[in-house]
Amino acid sequence: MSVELLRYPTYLWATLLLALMAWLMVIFILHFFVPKAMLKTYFKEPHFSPAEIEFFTGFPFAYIRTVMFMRLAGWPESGEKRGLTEAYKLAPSWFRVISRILIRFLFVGSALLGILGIFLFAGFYYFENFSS
Amino acid sequence: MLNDVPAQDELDFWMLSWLAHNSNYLVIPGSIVAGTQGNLLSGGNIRLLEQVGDLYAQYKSGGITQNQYEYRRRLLLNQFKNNIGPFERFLFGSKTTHEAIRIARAGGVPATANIDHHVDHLKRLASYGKYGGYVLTGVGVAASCMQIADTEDRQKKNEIFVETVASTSVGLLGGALIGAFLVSNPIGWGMALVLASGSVAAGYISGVVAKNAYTTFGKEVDFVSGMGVDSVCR
Repeated sequence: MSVELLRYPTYLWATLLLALMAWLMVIFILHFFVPKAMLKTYFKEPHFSPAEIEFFTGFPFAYIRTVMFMRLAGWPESGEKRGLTEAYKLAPSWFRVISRILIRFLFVGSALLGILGIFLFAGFYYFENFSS
Repeated sequence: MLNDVPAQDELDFWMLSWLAHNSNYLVIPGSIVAGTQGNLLSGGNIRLLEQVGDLYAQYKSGGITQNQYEYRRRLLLNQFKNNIGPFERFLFGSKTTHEAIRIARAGGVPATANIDHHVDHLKRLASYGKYGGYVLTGVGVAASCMQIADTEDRQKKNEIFVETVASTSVGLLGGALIGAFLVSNPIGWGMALVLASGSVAAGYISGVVAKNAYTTFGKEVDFVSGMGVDSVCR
């Protein structure tokens, strides 16, 4: 068994990582297109605690807030516990569509990256310590 | 920040002590680590303390009796104490919350000065906590830059570079995932700590995989000179 076995999984992992880094860049841009009406109407009590409002305002954690509102726009039912199921109505349909695509990509891509990452972590460890 | 966590709190802060003992902690994004501190030193918690000042004003103006004042003050401070959990010692040193937030009775000093002093302290800490992640990430990147500059070996420079890029990116992705999770699940600080530590671990693993991947399969590629990193970090 040689470490060559890990070559193609590694290439896949690296490609996934680059794709997700590009995803981060897209979020950075999309942050400025989150509908202001959504934020004004729903980014306050009682939907968010004072702690959360303070935390997710301003650089850099406002980008996490962007992802939160993207999920709300794409899947209204995700806002059930916070009473945010109507929030999607304030988002234009292009924003809702893009949000669904991007959030799906985040979940699937991260899961794959995570699984592959653990596999490669173990694989490299094995070849470093137990194989000539 | 890490030096201020007293030894007896290490059991409570197992994640922070793991970071402190891990020589790589500077290259792991701190943005998620600081996330939990941001939750605790929140507007809501600080408002609890400010209400003690308001209560005192009510008492002094005859709006409530001394017994009522002391009872309500105890309720507010207990709630605050429960909210912040083991951070109490970190924030207030050896004094307990109740001792620290007391009305100064010395002449010439405004009665609520003691409370205001602590509220300001908390607000400053909260702002550091919020930006702590950004600062730590900056420190992490700066530290890798220093490590890159310190080594003569081109191979080593590239290893540090790919490790930093991978762990920082995965840390940021962790933040995004936490956001997507939080919108459907409002959580308390205990859960926040668990989520944060998961992201840190994922960042660390990614860094190690990136380094090994580069060493095993990517040695021909010289990212550091190709991207001009070595002209910045020297």
